[in-house]
Amino acid sequence: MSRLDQLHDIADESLAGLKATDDMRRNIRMKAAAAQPAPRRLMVQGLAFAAAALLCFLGVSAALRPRAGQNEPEPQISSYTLGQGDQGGERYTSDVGYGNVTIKSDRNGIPAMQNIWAQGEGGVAPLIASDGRYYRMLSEPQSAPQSVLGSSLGVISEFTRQPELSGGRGLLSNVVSAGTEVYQVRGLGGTLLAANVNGSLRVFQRVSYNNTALLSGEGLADTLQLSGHITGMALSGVGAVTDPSAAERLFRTLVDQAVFKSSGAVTASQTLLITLDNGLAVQLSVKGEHLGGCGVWSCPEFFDAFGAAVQP
Amino acid sequence: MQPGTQTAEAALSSASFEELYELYATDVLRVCYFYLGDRQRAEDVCQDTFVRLITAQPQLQAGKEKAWLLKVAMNRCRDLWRGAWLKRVVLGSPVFELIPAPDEFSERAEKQALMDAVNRLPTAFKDVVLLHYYQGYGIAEIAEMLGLPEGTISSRLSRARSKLEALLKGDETGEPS
Repeated sequence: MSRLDQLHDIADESLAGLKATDDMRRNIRMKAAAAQPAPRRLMVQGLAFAAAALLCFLGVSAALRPRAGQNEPEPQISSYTLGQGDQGGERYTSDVGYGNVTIKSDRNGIPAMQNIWAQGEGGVAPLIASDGRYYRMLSEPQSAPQSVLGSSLGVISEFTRQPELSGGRGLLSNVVSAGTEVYQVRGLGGTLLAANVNGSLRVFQRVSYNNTALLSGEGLADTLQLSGHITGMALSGVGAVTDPSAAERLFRTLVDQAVFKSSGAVTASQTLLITLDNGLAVQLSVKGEHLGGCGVWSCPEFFDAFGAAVQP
Repeated sequence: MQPGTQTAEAALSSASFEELYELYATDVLRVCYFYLGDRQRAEDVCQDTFVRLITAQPQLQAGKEKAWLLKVAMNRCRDLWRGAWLKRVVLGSPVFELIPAPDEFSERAEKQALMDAVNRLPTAFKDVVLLHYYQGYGIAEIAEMLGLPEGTISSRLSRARSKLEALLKGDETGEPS
């Protein structure tokens, strides 16, 4: 019954012409709307009418409101854009560039824990495997700009749901379709990859997976080739370093002092986001003095230096 | 690197319907097709399943959304299967018609035989084979989905394999020799 073990692939191939369509999606929406009880439907209609009225009111208000830079400020947001150098002062919606990662802060301006590892189906992370290196999709940005693209690594040779993505050599993925081109992110070596997923350019970060982290001769600096591109760091619950030169020094401390502990992962209680000059960010999971990304690393020196850097 | 933290409420928001539809609708559709052998019926059941997701607002645990969708769809398929229309029209069909992509016609006979054999399994065996071998669920997960002991699932899988082997050898009854 060896063929039975291939049922998934055979069925998907044999039924490849059978796909859920947009027509079905529309039908579902219509049927769901029709299936709602009448009072609720009326309430929804009432709410829709009220919302439309409110939108009209806001639209007219906006049209009559003076433009930003005159009298009225633009709406302020509680996050700030990355990769733009100076983070001082208030930030506005118009300041956040397309495809930039934003960091959320609490009321006191302290970075909140913000996990940007994308989650996958059934707890299996969305991955690209490239000859023994694993890259996990980031949840932010949802759509990166084409300007981040560097050289092409080739195309996904196999789409596989096998978590270990060990079906063969070359580029494999459980989220990027076969035949889709995979790129390095410009200037960052093999730290980040980018590929289209469902029509959006998504970013993938080098990670450990299936107890595989470093290949022969590699160190932390090989998996985080970020020097010269760092604009800031945000450690959740602690603070943010927004001076690029200070952040660069912290990064050097990290790659110089960190000690490799294992090829696994840490259960994060904090996150460290390292912001880059292209608007993207990479993430390390943090627990105590351990950092996890592509392997688990211990670096108390980094946390001491970070704590000192965020002191007022 | 924690697993998804999506809440049940979020799963039922409009945006999450889109997300769940993108992720799972095709799988649900294909599993339905295995049961019903009829594209239009499979599409109907798939749509009804997602309508129920929107209207019933089930309390879904993060990561269990697909299991819920498959369970609802399979229950509906079983209900339909018991109906006279399917018994008359589908059970009489000589083969389980594949719907391959236009450029995929290699190894058709062998694959057709396996698909046909799976399609002809009794429902109880088809359940476990589809969930285990097609959708990749473990025995414990299948037991939870179907509300049966794990031992029953293991036993059904074992017997299903024997029946499939017999069917593939040409035994029309699927009884192992």
